[in-house]
Amino acid sequence: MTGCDATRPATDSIHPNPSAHSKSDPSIQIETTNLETLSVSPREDDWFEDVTLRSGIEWTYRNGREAGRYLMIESFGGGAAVIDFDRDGQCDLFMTGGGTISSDASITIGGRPSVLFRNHGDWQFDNVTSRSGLSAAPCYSQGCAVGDFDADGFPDLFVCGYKGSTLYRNCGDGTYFEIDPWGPSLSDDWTTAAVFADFDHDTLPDLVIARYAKWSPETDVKCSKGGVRDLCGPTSYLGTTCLAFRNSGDCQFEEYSTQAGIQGSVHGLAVVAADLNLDGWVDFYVASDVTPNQLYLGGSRLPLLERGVSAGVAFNEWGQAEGSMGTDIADFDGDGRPDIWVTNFEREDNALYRSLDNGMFLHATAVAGLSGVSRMLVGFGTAMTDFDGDGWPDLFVLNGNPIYSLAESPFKQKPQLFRNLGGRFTDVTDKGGTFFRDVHSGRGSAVADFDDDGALDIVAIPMNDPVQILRNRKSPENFIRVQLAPRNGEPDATGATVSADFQGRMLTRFAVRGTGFFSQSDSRMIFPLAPELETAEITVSWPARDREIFRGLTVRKTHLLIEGQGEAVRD
Amino acid sequence: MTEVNASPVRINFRRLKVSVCAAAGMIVIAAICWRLSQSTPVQLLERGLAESEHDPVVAAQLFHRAVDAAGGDYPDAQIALCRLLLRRNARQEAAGLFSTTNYSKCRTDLLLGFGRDALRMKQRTEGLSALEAVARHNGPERLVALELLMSDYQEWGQRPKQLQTAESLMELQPQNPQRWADLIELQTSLARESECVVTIQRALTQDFPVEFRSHLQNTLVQQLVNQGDAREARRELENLRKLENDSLRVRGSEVYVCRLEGDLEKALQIVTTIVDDAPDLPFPRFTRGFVLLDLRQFKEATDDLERVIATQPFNAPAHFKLSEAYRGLGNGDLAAKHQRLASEIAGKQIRMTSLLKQRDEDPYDPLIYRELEQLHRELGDLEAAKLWHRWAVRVSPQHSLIPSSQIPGG
Repeated sequence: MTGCDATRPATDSIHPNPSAHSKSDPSIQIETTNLETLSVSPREDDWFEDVTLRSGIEWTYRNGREAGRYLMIESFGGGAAVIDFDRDGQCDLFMTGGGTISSDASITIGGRPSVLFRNHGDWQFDNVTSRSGLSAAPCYSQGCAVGDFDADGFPDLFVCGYKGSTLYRNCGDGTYFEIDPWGPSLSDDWTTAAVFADFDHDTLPDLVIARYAKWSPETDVKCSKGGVRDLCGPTSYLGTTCLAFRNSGDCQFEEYSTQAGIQGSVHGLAVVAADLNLDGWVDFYVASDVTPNQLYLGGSRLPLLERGVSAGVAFNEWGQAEGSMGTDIADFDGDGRPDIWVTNFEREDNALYRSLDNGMFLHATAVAGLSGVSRMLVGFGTAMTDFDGDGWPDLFVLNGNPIYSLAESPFKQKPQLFRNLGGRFTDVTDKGGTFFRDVHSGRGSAVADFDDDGALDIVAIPMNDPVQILRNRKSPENFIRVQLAPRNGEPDATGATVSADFQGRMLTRFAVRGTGFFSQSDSRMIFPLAPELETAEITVSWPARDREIFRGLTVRKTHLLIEGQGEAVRD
Repeated sequence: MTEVNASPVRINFRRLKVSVCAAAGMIVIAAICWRLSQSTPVQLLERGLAESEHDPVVAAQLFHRAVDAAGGDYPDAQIALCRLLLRRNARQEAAGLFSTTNYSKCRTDLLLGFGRDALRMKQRTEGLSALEAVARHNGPERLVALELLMSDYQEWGQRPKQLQTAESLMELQPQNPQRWADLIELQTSLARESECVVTIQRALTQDFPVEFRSHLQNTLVQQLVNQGDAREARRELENLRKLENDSLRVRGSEVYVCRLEGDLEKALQIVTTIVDDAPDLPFPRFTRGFVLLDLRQFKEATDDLERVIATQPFNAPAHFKLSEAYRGLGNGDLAAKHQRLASEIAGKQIRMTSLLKQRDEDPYDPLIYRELEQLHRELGDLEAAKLWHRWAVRVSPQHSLIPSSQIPGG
């Protein structure tokens, strides 16, 4: 392992410059204004406004389709990580770039650089990729994860992809440095999604990685119908296991899959970390394409126990494995327990698994009024979160078909938005905004409060089309935002449960990681509050430890809740 | 005495007359022979066709001569000869000749005749090729060819080809309700939901009898439910209700529409009326079981689902739903047991689906049929097992001698 300061390439330090992206050519300004007017033109009751042009975020994930190879890795697109890399309190945005595929006789797969945009506030972003040392393209990139693996207070990055999954250490001065703590074990592999969370309870975030298949261009299967080539489906390839890496400190990771209890082949496309049975220990949920989804339950010691089938989160409502992709965790029915939301392939409903009071789950898509609503669509990026500030988690689904032309539903599809009316959802896609009235090749997505107005905004990453930034216009009248800081300087509060009263109703939020698709969303938690409140109190259940109440928190601010500084609650 | 000494002049005249007649006869014969030898290929073919019923040998000679007269390439005569060979049970010879014949240029009536005979004589490859060629033409034989193809694909379970044929038949005879029914059934079985909805909507524009319209309307509701389109399903359900009032199937469909709409209380209320009306039918009880499960009435759900399992022990979804109900009751052991059963049964069913798809590609592989037989036997469907056994023997008679232990899944 080499430290950040030792051999890293020279990079410019970062100086905030909100005007850096302003155009000096007046003709360009005029064009921009016209385009902006055309593309935004929101209706009065739209929930979201497309602010992509205004924000200065210009980015397109590319999958190499133009080579006409129809390789399996073209299917899934890329992701975004919401990351305050410079710790200035603003949510910055990292996005993977994808890659290139050669069209000549021997297939060469190359990487495209990822990108980092710094948030200067007021929807002004600046591309700081080269300055931050992230402009190299070590792999054909897909998902990404955020975690402070070296516990220095600065969030680090992990980028998944084909041949060269990469760990970037945040040097703390606005730059990143690539490290290779696992040697050859990942260099030839294809990883799709990952999550940082402490599975061995040593306070350091470990890494769990999803893989889709043991694949290479040489093993790629050719699929066609009626003479038309297209991408193959998952059944053309054998799945493979997830991987677990233990963070042993000093920036070293050792493969720990066996000791961690990782087992069974999956076509893994998402790994989410959260305390899903509320026993105080971090669990992992793996969404898999056509093989049963997995639930690894954490405990006081390893191994994790895979209980997807017996807990009722592996299958659809008829007991069949589905093509599972995006995932999120929230309390959709207000019972204080974490429910699991999973987006699925066409001809399948997206799955909502309701948590029961015995640690089990029950398929609740029909109960929630979501049966059939997405059956002719393919869901990728998603979020189950409170977009309209009424305390109930709503649903956003970014749709798009991985198959270019031979599937039942089209390659580009409309996204969806569902409002939660108290445990039952209603389709409000028409009120979503201009983005929701068009079709997209939707893949990765993340949510974050980029403008700190208490409403979660959306980053949508279509494939081969520009990224879209959607500002949430449903800012709550009053709110509080909290960030958790566990004791002993632990960098990771994953598994904690946080609750607050909202007009006589207890709202519960969960510290989760890896939600959305291939992405990492804003880890801060937002609670709407009654308009008349000037202060609020928040209860935190720390993972496997005590509960604390934090009182007298000023509204409309972000509070760092440090374990031990609240008022202990004895049950 | 004088008679003996006849006039020499007179005798010569008579000789002359005989000679002339003989010569004339010879000329006529020669002319006939010449004419025969100079027949056109078409004439030879027609004569051969005329002869083929009474004298196949002469007919064969005529077909050969027709081919020769055409310079060695005369598909009509070649196909006629193929058919003749088949009728004489010279299958190999017929197949050999057929493989070298450019039958796409052949008269469709001849090709149809050959195709029909070939299927009857178990020369399936040649028969299908001939009939498919006929079906590509817009002649009067197309309908019969399509019907023969449909029947064959159905028998051999080749559903994608069956679907194409059904589409052609429907376009050819849109006034025939059976054509629409066949097509809709195939689209349903192949999960072509979107196409199926369009087909039904087109069928409903035809002037069909009420009973058939009712059937179409009910299928349309089911397809819309499958697509998850609650609003359209409700609209079409109300149209169905106009035709049938609150019949059993109207109520049955409404349960699913209500569930799509998220109105589970109403779904429960309706399905309970069906269970009351038909207490011995497992399907309504199964439906009520999972609606009760939706409503987290776990005990009531187990009661219904246990009764379903008692009559349908290989109903995988019922086992799965029962496992969910037991999970809700906190009975992990029973939940695990029914989960395991559901997985085992579903695994077999998935395998059967996969085998049927394989059969679409290669209907002559006896191993497919033996495995299907075995799987059906394991799932308690002995009738189906017998059916697949017969197929295994049909495609490979010696296969009846192979012990089950050598068969995958056996």
